Amino acid sequence: MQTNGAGLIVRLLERQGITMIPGIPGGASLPLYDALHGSALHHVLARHEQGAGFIAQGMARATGTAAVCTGTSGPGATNLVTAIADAKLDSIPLVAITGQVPRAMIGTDAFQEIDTYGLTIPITKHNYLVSSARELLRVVPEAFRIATSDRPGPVVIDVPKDVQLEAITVDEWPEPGRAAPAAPCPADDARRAAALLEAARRPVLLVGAGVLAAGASDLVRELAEAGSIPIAATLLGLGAIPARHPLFLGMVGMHAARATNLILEECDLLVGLGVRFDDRATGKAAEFCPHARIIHVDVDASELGKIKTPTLGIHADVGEALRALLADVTPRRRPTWSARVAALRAAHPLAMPGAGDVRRPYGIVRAVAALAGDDAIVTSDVGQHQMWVAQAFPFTRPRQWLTSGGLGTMGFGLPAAIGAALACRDRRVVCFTGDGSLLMNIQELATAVEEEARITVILLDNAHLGLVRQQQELFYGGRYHASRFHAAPDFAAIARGFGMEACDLETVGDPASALARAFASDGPCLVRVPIAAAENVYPMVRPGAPNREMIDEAALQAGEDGGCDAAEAM
Amino acid sequence: MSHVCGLFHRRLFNVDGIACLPTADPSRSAVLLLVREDARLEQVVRQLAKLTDVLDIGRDPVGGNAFAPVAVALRCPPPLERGADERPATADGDRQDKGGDL
Repeated sequence: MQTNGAGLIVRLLERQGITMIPGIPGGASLPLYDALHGSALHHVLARHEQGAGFIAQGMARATGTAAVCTGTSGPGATNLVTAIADAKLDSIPLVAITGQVPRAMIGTDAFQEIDTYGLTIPITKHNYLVSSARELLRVVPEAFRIATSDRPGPVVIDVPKDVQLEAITVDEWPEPGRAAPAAPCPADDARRAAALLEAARRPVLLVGAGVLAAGASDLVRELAEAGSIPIAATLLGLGAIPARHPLFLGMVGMHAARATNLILEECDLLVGLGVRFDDRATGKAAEFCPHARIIHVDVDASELGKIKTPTLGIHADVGEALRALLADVTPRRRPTWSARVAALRAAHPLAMPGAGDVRRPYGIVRAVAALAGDDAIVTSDVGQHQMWVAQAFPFTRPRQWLTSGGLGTMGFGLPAAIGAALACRDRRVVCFTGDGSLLMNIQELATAVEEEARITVILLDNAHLGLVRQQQELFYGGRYHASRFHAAPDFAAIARGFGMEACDLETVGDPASALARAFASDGPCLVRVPIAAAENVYPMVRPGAPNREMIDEAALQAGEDGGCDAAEAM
Repeated sequence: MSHVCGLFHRRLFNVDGIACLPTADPSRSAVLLLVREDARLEQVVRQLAKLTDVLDIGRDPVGGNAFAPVAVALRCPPPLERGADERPATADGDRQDKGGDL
C-alpha cells in the first residue's frame, strides 16, 4: 500500500479499532486531516483542545479501552496538556497525537512551535517525537500497548508535518498494540494474605480505580461476602460495588460519612485494592488506619510503600491477586465486627439535609438519580457538587461514575459527558457541574449540540467557587476573597443560545416536574439549579488532619473545630 | 536522558552527578547517576524502573568511585572522598516527605 505518514496514522488507528477522534485541526496537522477526509474515522470537532482531550477521556473512562485525541503544534499541544495530565493522575488510557512543525524548522522558534515532547515528559506514561514515517509502524501500536498495559496512562505521539507528508510503501502491517497479559500474583503472597485475613478480627477492604481497571469488581464482592468484610471506596473506586450492597460503606476520606472513617479508624486489617493512598482519601497518612495491618495490592510496584508501608505488599493485577486469594480463603462470619460496623453506621450516618427538595444539593442529586435510573452514566466537574454526588448518588456498576480525581480538573465534566455519550450511544449521560466548572469548558456545549450527544447537564449554580468559599469560611476566618462571582450569567439563556434545550428551576413553578420533563428529552439539555451559597459539604476533614477529626454542622455549632486558621491548608 | 533527569527533579530527589554515554548498540545508552542513599531512594528507583526507555538498573556500592575518572576529565576534586552517603544536604535536598499539607 502506498501512502504517507498521515495516511499511515489513520490506517493504524483503524486497525486498533478506533472509530472516533476528537480534536481541532491546525497548520501542522493538516496532512493528518487530509488523510481523515477519506477515512471511516469520525472526527469530533471540539471547540478547544482541552475539550477534545476530555471528550477522549470520557470515551476511555466509559468503555475501559484506549481513546485518541489530536491537536496541532504549539497552542494545540499546550491546550491538550491539562487533559493529558488528568489522564496520568487517574491512570486513563489516552493516546494524544499532536502535529509538530517540520523537522527542518524544529529549534528555530517557528510559528506555533513548542517542545511538545519536553512539555509532556512529566505528564505521560511515555511519549514520542517521531522522526520518520516508517517509525510510525512501530510507534503507534507500541503507544496503545503502553497506554493500556498494567497501570494504564496517557501516551503522546508528536508527529512533525514533514513526517506526516513523507511517502511510504507498506507491505506488511504490524499487529495492533494490545495490553500485556495481567501481572500474575505470586502464590506465596496469596497464602500470606489469606493468613492475615484469617487472623484479622476487624478487616476492611478499600477499593480504588485499580479494581475497575482490572475488571475485578465481582471478585471483590465475592471476597467481601465470603469473609463478611465491609468495603469502602476511594472517590474513583465508587461504582465497583453497588451502593446498596449491605457491606458497602461508601467513600472514604475528606468528605466521607462519619461512620466510614470511624470504621477505618477501628479496623485491624486494611486490604487496599488498586488504591494509592491519596491524601484526600487518607487524611494525615501517618494516622490513617492506626491500628491496622495493611495488605496493599497494586499492579504498579512503586505504589507499594510510597505513602503507607504495607505489612504485605503484593505486586500483581488486582484481579489475579483476588482469584489467588479466593482459592485460599475459608468463608466465615464475623458477628462481633459486623455488629460494631452496623452500630457505627446507625450512630453516624451521612446527614443529607434537604434530600426532599430539588433546589438543595442532596435533593437534586437524589431526584436526578431516581429519574436517570441505573443505566445512566454520571460525570461530574470538580468542587462541592462533585462531593455531594459522590456521597449521595447510588452508583450500581463499574464505569458508571466518571470524575476527575487526582488532578481535580474543573472543566472535566461536560466534555467527558460528551465523550461517554458518543461512546455509549444507548445510555443517557448526566453531567453534574457547578457554575465555576462549567464556565471552564462551556464552549463544548456547541460540540454537544453538533454531535447530538444525549447528555443532561445538571448545573448547581451558587454563583461561587463553592469549595473555595467553604474553605475560606472554615479555615481562613471567613475572609472571603475571589470566591464569589458578582456577574452571574443566565446559564439557561446561554444554553439555548448554543441550540440546547434548557430550563431554570429557579423560575419554574413546579421544579420537580420541570426536572422530569428535562429527562424526557433525548437531545442535549441543561437544567440550572439555584443553590444557596451557604450550603457546605459535610463532614469535612481539614487538609492535613487525621480522618477522625471530621467537621460538621453539629460540631461547628458546639464550638469544636470551627474558626481554626490553617494557613497551610489548601 | 531527559526522562531520567526529569523524574529525579519532579520527585524532589537530588542527583549529585550524572554521566550519559552511547553504547556499542547505537539504540542504547548508559547513564551513571550519583545519588544519596536515603529512605526515598527505593521509591525513586521503582519510579525509574517504570520508564519505558529504562531497560535495566544496577547499583554500585555506597562509596564506590565510578565517577572518579569523570572528575579527572572535568578537572574538579574527586566527588566521592567524603563517601556518597555522607554528603551534606543541599537547601532543598532533605525535604521531609509524607508530611506536607495540601
